Amino acid sequence: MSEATVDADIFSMLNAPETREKGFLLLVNTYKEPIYWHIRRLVVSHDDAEDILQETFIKVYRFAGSYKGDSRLYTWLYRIATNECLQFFRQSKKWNSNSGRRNEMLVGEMAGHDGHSGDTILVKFQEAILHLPEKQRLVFNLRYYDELSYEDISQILNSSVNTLKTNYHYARERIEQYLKEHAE
Amino acid sequence: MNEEEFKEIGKRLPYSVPDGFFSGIAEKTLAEARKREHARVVRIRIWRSVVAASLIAAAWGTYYLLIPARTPEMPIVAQQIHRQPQDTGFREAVTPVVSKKPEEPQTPEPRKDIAPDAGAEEIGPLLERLTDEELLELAAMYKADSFMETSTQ
Repeated sequence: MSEATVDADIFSMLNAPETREKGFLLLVNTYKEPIYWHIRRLVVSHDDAEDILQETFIKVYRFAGSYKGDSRLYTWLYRIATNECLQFFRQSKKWNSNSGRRNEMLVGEMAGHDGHSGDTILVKFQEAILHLPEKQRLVFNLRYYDELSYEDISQILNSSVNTLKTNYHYARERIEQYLKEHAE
Repeated sequence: MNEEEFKEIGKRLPYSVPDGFFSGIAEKTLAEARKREHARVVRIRIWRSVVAASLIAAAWGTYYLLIPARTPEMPIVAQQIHRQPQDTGFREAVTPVVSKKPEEPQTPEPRKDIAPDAGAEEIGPLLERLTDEELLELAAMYKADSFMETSTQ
């Protein structure tokens, strides 16, 4: 079954009260992993990512009736998940600081986390991404890891395609620069 | 580092998740979503009840504040209406408000054990003693006197 067919099925099930919960389960099972990893890359901590993932799907459950199918289902989900992450940073006392300080804290969170692999190049690569400004980090993750089109990313981040291309270009340059500077 | 080396890193991440983390997440989230939806519905119902109760209380408060202020005026209005029988339209409109015709002041019968006041004089004989000219003059004065006009209205 293609992605579009699954999305169409989920959409029709969510809109009928008798199949709403079945549609919700299908939606969560289809998108839980990509959405979890999108959140995890942004907030680093597994516990925080788990909480935000749940909040994201609870919002989906609550506002399922307001989704009119005018954008792709996964762009709608990514948009909700991204907004939840940004809200998490703004509302949390721990994270509510300037972006430079927050980036350093995220790097520290990754270094202190037991769950990360010991592959040095992967850790350096994530450090480089975590040092990017927020918008560039979002664009880079959605484009590089999730392989979303610029058109989809523009719907998620509410930004123009040209701006996103520029952001992605600068992000790549900065990551390359960081890895060169921190090469062993 | 060039683009080829980026490709070498690929999509791998230095993170891991606990075993079995993704299994059962949908059911757990659905249970939590149901719980919150129920709580939200209860909250909305309570809020609506509070708003309805406040509106009723405000309406009663307004009623009790305004109505007692009007009550003392009502008999006066009723008496005034009674004094103006010629104003039939207005009187008919408010007649149901006047539940009881005010009692005419009854003049007590003169007591026989007390002698009539010698100084008190009836107006009838007084008018009879006046000439036609004096009567006309009195009538003109009555018409010209603005205080006399208002007092009769």
